Amino acid sequence: MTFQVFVGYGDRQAMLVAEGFGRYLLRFGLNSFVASTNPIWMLPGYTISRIYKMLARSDVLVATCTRNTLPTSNLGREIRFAQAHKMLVLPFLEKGITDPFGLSRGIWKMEFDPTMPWVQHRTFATYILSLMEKSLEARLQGQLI
Amino acid sequence: MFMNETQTDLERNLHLVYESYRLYSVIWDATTTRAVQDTDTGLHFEDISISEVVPKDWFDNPAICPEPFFYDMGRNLAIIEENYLLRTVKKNVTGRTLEITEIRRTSLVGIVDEFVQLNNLLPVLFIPADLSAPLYAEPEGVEFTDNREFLQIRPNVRAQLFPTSRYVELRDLVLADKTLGTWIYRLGDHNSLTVEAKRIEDGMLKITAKMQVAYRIDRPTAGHIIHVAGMN
Repeated sequence: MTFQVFVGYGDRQAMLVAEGFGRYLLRFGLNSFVASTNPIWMLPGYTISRIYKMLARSDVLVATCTRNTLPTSNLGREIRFAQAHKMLVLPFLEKGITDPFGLSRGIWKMEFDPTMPWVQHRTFATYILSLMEKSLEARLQGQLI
Repeated sequence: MFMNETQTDLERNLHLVYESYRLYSVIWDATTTRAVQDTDTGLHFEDISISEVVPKDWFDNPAICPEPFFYDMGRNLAIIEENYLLRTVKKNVTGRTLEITEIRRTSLVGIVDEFVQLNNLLPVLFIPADLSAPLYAEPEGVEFTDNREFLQIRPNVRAQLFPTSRYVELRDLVLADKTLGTWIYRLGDHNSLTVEAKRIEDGMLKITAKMQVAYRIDRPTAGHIIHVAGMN
């Protein structure tokens, strides 16, 4: 079983951070999907329905936000979709900002410096992998996967 | 058992299990719920539990951040619970099996409307994770209110939507009335849920989140299966 991480973003600057992290995850050995125009993930003709399908098949949604991310961006819909599907949602936030979707109320979040977001890639990817493995163990314990 | 600071940190983390369980659990909206009573007989209770052994250091060392682990425990309990609910529903409903050709709002509205007119006034619709995308992609497919999702049928009539986790085995949609069954639970520390930490050996703790529940089907005819042609 391969884990898949959907890296969502709330604005153009966040998209570049999301793409960088998505590429790192692939090198790290995790499947990733970023709904950008990068042909690694999306080819012309991809529909919104196809993007939601990719999200529904993912194990975790990484919500990348910068100070330009608006609460009305598409990322908000993706977060609602992910939470409704009981998916793990992890905020990846520009340092110093308040997350516009209220995800990090007292919960752990990963922060990045917009001038060098890659510094956090390894720590974040390792964290995601260990969390997903723990989740898998928990569901196996319930023998209901 | 521990120094105060550690104890407070531990309690805060244990509370996160409950918080995330409440965020992700669908039982409270999708079914009728109540605690077990002395008059209840013939119920078979399921044990839903997750336990994990963790080092006490997790609560002493500021470099370790155990919150996501505890938060995720609640989410996983909600998934296991949903699996039990839907397994029981699939096994016991005796309503009709319907077929639609595609998942669109327009193809579901007529079916739900007819269902409501048969005196099912609290319709709930479970959608397998694999099939939910087209409905969510439609601009008017899903209505969001108070962190809940609905399919609007006509003014004042709507069905609450419950897309399932991808780890729950469900191939068809299930249309049911909220009164299809009763979710009966033994009282825990937080409604049905008990979360506890026990010291098992030096420096190690066993964290357990558990509940005992029984889903009793009261009106088997108040549940229909909707098959999507060409899927599965």
